[in-house]
Amino acid sequence: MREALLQVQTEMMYAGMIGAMKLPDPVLAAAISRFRKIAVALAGRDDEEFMMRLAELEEYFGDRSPLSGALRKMILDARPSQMKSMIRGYLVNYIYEL
Amino acid sequence: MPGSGVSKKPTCHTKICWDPEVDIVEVLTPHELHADMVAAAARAGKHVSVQKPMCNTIAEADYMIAAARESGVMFKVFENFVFYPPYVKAREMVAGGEIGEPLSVRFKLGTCMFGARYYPLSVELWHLLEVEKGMGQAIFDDGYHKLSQAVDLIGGIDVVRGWVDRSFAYADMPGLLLWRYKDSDCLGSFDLAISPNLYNKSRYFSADERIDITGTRGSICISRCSAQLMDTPALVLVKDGKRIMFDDIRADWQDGFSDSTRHFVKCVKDGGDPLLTGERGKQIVQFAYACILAGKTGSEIRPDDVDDAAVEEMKKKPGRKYW
Repeated sequence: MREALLQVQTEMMYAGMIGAMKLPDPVLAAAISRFRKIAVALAGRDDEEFMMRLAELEEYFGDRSPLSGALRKMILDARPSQMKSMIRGYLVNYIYEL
Repeated sequence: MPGSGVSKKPTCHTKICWDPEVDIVEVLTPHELHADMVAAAARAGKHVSVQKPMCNTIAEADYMIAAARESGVMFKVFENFVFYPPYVKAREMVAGGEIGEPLSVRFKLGTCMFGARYYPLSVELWHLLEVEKGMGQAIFDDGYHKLSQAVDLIGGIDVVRGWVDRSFAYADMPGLLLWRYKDSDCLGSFDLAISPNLYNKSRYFSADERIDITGTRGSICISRCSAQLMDTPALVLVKDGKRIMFDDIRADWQDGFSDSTRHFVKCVKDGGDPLLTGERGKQIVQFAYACILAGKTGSEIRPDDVDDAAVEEMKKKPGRKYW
């Protein structure tokens, strides 16, 4: 059951990432900024790295950085199986700590 | 930095070059800036250490070597893996005949996507974007460490073959590279893999790095480097029916950096060739390009034949699959 739930979550997150990559940079930057503010309010002390990562993403999409294009290419061009494997790894190691 | 003997604050590189209190300049900038900065420092009479990979083109390598030679200064390509203490010990054992004649040497790079110490995504993306210019993070950049050890351990490379795929649009992995040495019957290989769902706890990068050296009467395994996936002793020697594990050897990845720096300071003070010299650094750039060319074309490539024209020609070819 746990594996099935992980798979469903992975598929949903992958679909969300692919959909998000179709949004323009400023929209993505604003969405990440809003999400980061909410996350900061909810986060514990051990979530510092996650907050730093969000701040980075906000910068890449908000600063006309060439890195936003690189990130888009990586997410859109990577084999779906690799991206999903990475998402599963993130869930297992950092969210649920299984 | 109080107590470290290092007192200069970062400033413009030309100011550093002409500062009379500076003896040695360390160039640790993006690859394409190396040549001009190294030449400027050398012409100002400073000994220079440049971070690996030495440069992007063979012409840049020749330019730096010539600038250092004409200025009479010492020039080192900084590559810390040849100073990783378990490797240094293994090299001594190979040279001392502990495993007999070396028959094969295998390098492994298993990139794991979880467990590394936090560093900005831009660090990774910057490296990965080099693939677009014909280089690549795994073979040209990180691979420089392994290719440098491969040459340091056995000698010059005769010919390379290989297969290289691409992951996550940019990463030049998985791959398998094979080579024959010029003056030894030993064969070499470098296998590269990326595991998107593998956790490998590390204080540095979560790479599973190992070297296996097999000889006519023994075998050596070097592990850990920047992470400890298997958590085995950093150096294991098997010979004469015995397995000797070196548990007490220094094996922190940063030891290679500090030992490399000490070595260069000693060379400047007492004389002697640094490891790596500019010529050796250039040889590794040619070896890396030979690996990329071999992976892209499926042909046998001789590193000695690699020049900038061959690299430019390679960049125009569509290559196989993801290349």
